[in-house]
Amino acid sequence: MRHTAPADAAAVDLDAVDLRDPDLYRYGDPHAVWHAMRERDPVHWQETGPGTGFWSVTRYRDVEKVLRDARTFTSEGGTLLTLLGQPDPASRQQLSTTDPPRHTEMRAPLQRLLAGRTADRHRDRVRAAARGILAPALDGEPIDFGVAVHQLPVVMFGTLMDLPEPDWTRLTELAEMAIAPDDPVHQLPSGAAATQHRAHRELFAYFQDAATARRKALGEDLLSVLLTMTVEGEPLDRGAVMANCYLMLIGSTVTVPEVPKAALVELIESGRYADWAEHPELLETGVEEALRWASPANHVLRYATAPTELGGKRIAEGDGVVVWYGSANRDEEIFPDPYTFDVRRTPNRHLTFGSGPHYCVGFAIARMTLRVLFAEMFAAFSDFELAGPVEHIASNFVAGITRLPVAGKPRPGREPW
Amino acid sequence: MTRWRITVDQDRCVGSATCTSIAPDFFTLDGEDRSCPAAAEVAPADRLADAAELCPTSAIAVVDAETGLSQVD
Ligand code: HEM
Repeated sequence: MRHTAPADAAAVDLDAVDLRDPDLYRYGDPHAVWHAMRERDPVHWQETGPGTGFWSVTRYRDVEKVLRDARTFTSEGGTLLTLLGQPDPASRQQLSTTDPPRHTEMRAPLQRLLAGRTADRHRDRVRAAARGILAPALDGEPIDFGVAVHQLPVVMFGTLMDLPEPDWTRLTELAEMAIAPDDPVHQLPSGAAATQHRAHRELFAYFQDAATARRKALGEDLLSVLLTMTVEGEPLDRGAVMANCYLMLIGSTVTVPEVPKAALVELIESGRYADWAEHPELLETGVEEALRWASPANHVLRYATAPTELGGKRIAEGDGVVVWYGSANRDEEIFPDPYTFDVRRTPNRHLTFGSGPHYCVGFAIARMTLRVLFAEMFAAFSDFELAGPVEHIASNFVAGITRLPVAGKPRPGREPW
Repeated sequence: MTRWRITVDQDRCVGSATCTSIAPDFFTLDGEDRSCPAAAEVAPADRLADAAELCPTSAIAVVDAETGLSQVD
């Protein structure tokens, strides 16, 4: 999907829009749809069948309200639109589909492991990976940055989990098959459902083996924390450990690469790459703007636990409520000139990592990784240009780019890597 | 005796309840689930520094009440 100003929001027919359709994100313009909804029907009911459907929440303040109020809007019925109306098998097993107070107990040891100092310990490996991704462009030849940058997140995940490096590439492939099975880049000839099924089977078998081995050699890694933590007085059972390994893999691999991809496209098209690259003091505000701009997670789903009111609409108990991060992050009430990529934007309280109790637990590592990648890119290249058409991912969950051919202008006289 | 001063920037707080789970005796959530210090000045405690460090939006400041120096690294 494009991240720029929508072409024609006025022409959008809200009754005909299907925000579930993966092709909307591959070929269409979801920002036009969200813009139209924010203006005309900010809490919008989409019917999916006779008497069934879901609410789309598109304004910043309403999105924030839903995310912060876990009592009224539960995660335990599942958080993905594709599973709307079906019970989530990982309910109360996986961090993201567990409500407080159980959630609080599960989250604390993970948050402790993932915060500040851990991110610092990973910095050198992330820098080496960033250089590995960019090095092939140093001779001025085009690279597909959309493909290459996917080497990055598994460096975080693989290191956090202490998994053998030769397995990392396959883990990335499987994560992408699992989360965007409709996308032709990853799809098996047997179709989307089979692609996803295959990825899940292989991943769970892999994590199962890793867990069995790790129990005999516990360390300070993420897998060891999952294997030893107690919640409500009991250790996590096998299924819960697997479900959380899976969540951590998906949470890290499919989101992080989309930030530099979306930012690079915009920097090239607006001719403003150099403006950021020449100002190292803007690294942090620029990364926050890239996070707002990219909004890699499109949505999250909640269910109302009681009748409530939102944006003037009556929500019934049990209704599915979908918040659209990309829309909240373009809300003109909060962000002046929301369709301008402004590396100096402050304040910038984007909702890219969510809000409330489920606020992304990987935020510190994600931020560190992005800062390192942009710093390395700016140090080595004075500019980039597009070297072919940009292609977008077919997924209502990840706002993503699959193909992004670019050619860089290496800086003369730069320090060798 | 050293005292620490705690402040929470309510504009930055996203209500992740990290501090109230790590250092429940030092923080409470208000009616809108924003964190507030239970007392403005307290005796030093490791878990207080942990809570400030782990806050997802760095909304918590913990300083030495006399010198004003930050106690979070
Ligand atoms: C730019 C990168 C990232 C983005 C945009 C992102 C986005 C998000 C969002 C929006 C949520 C909230 C979901 C909800 O409210 O239900 C979330 C939760 C989560 N993220 Fe991230 N994430 C990123 C990176 C990471 C990384 C690197 C990891 C792992 C190391 C990770 C692991 C998780 C986990 C485990 C949760 C569930 C937290 C909970 O339910 O308490 N994420 N993420």
